[in-house]
Amino acid sequence: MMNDTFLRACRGEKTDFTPIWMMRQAGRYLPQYQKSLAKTDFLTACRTPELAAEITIQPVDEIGVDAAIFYSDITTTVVPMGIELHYEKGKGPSYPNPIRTTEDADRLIVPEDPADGLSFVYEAQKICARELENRVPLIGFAGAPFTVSAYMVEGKGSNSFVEFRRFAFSNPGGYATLMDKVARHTANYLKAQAAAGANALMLFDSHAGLVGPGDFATMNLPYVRQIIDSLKMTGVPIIYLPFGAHGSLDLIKDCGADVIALDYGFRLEEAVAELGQGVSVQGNIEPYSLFLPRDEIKRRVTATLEAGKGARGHVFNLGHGVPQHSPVENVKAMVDFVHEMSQVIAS
Amino acid sequence: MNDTFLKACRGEDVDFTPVWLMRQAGPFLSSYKKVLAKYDFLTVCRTPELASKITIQPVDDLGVDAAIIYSDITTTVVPMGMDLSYVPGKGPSYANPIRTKEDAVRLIVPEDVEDGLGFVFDAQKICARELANKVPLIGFAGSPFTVSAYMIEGGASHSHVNTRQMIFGDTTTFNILMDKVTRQTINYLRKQAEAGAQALMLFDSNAGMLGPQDYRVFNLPYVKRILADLKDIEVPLIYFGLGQHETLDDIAECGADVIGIDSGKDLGNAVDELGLNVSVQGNIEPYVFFQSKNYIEERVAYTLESGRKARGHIFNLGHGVPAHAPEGHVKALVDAVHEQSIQSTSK
Repeated sequence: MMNDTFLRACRGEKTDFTPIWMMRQAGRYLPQYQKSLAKTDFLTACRTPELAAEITIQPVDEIGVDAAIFYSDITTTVVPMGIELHYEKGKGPSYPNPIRTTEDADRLIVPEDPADGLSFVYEAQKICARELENRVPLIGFAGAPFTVSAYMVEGKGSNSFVEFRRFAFSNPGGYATLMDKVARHTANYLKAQAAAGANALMLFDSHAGLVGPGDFATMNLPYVRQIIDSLKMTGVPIIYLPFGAHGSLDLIKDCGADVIALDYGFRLEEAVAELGQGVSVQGNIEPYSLFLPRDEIKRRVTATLEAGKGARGHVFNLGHGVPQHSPVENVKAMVDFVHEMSQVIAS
Repeated sequence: MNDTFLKACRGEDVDFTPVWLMRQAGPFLSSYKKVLAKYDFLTVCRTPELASKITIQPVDDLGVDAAIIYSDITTTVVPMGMDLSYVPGKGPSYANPIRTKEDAVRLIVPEDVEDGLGFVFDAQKICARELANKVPLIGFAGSPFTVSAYMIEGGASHSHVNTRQMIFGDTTTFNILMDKVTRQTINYLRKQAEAGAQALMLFDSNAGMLGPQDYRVFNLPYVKRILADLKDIEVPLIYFGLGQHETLDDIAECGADVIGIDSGKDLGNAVDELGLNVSVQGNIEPYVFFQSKNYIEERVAYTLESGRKARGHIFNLGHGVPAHAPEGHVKALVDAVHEQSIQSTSK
């Protein structure tokens, strides 16, 4: 029988312990991951179903997490819309022909069939779903439209997203066209993931903090809501990560997601109080606490569990991805502490 | 002198809301571009006549109510033993980043802060003289946390992997570094007040790197130490913790007269959290410059309204002026702040 603790916590049902998974749990800190990536490059791994499935499942075996998250990248989703993706080792993904004008946005297509150009994702997820069947749930995901659009306009990852913010404020019409198309494509993409076997769906909004609350409400949130609304019929829990949008929690709680994922910049206890009992929370221990001595990790895990206690449901996670140089035994220890201490606290 | 800015810092009555803009001496300004076309960035910083000229230009060209000395936060620690260079397009970097305890121990805190930094104080003397009947001059430094992060990474960084690993994995070294940078920063700011700066600002651009708990342990105590030490010089002190949105209750008590707020937080909410013992500075979205003048005026009205209940409000952006902001729109924002706030105070 499957360990469905993660799904139960997402829905706010009672659990025997607090489930944990970690953003970027399939990452470079894991020796098995490095081995899989040694023979190939990142995009090839993403596009080879057997390899993507292998990497997805590794942390379940090695770390003992309560959910697997599909190994993929948020930049691949929009390639079938007509944007070229390039990957250079050490530099990350980039779009050599970024979206800068209304015409660029107009030219983008929303494919009728979400499998067009992305079938490798669903094939890999079918393998994962089969292999994880009696173990843990599989999380499918996509980047939120705001975050993906930021990449598409900037052409690459950036600190300041100068081009994107300039485009968004100077060309509201072009911006709306871009966001609407990406949102529709993302909804189709996530629906197809649920059909392929994903047991939960997560929207990563890594750049949500680029604008303040007023602009978040008009430029970002409506598109998130549009996607989540259209996913309700899938019946799987939906998680939204509004990274850095610390001033907008009161708006976010009604976005329709079952779970709000919190970054480490939030005070978990206060965030839980602000979000209320209509949603579960995911998060939010400092990722670099994995570099602390073991007893200090345990103390922080306990504090995070205590802070999350008042939530409708709490899925333990880091406030961001696992740092690449994290000692793997500390990652494992954190997972064990969460399982152990959540039972101690509950009793 | 137009001392509206200083009055607002102290929470005294003003006839209009004063405004200045972070990076008001920047590439969006045609007079700035003219000077920088002939000299490189570090040369300008180190040539008092040029630095003072660039400092004063926005007062003449835009009509702002304060000047801020043209300098860079990375220069302060050069006399400590840091090897600074500047590559156009890449920004300042240190050839000898601080990575080990030995690196941190080797750093010196010069007895005489003028050693190697005399050009800053010379430029400020020129500015103070030329601005005597115009507007106040703001001196500044990077906060110890932000400067230390630069010293550890060796340059600007998105993820601050080395800094965060040091904080959690080698806390002793981090504390040695922070203590030394703090002492140098105190000497540096004190000397700026002597040279003619009428307000002092601490830029903590990386304050959002740590979550609330860790910010209180690894960052805020050093800020407090600096501000406590500077109390006797009686110029207003401004602290700007970019990205640190969840600790305003603590920040309100850091010892600053003014708290800078970035665009990530609703200004009205920030004022509520800060209380009435401090003034606020901020926080309009910097990219509104790419919208129409009517739109800018509406946003100015909202920001003024949000700041009205504060003890004092200094109008500013939530971050620096974008490099490509249309100069006419920047000027329009300054005018709108003055016009609208005069109208509302005379009501």
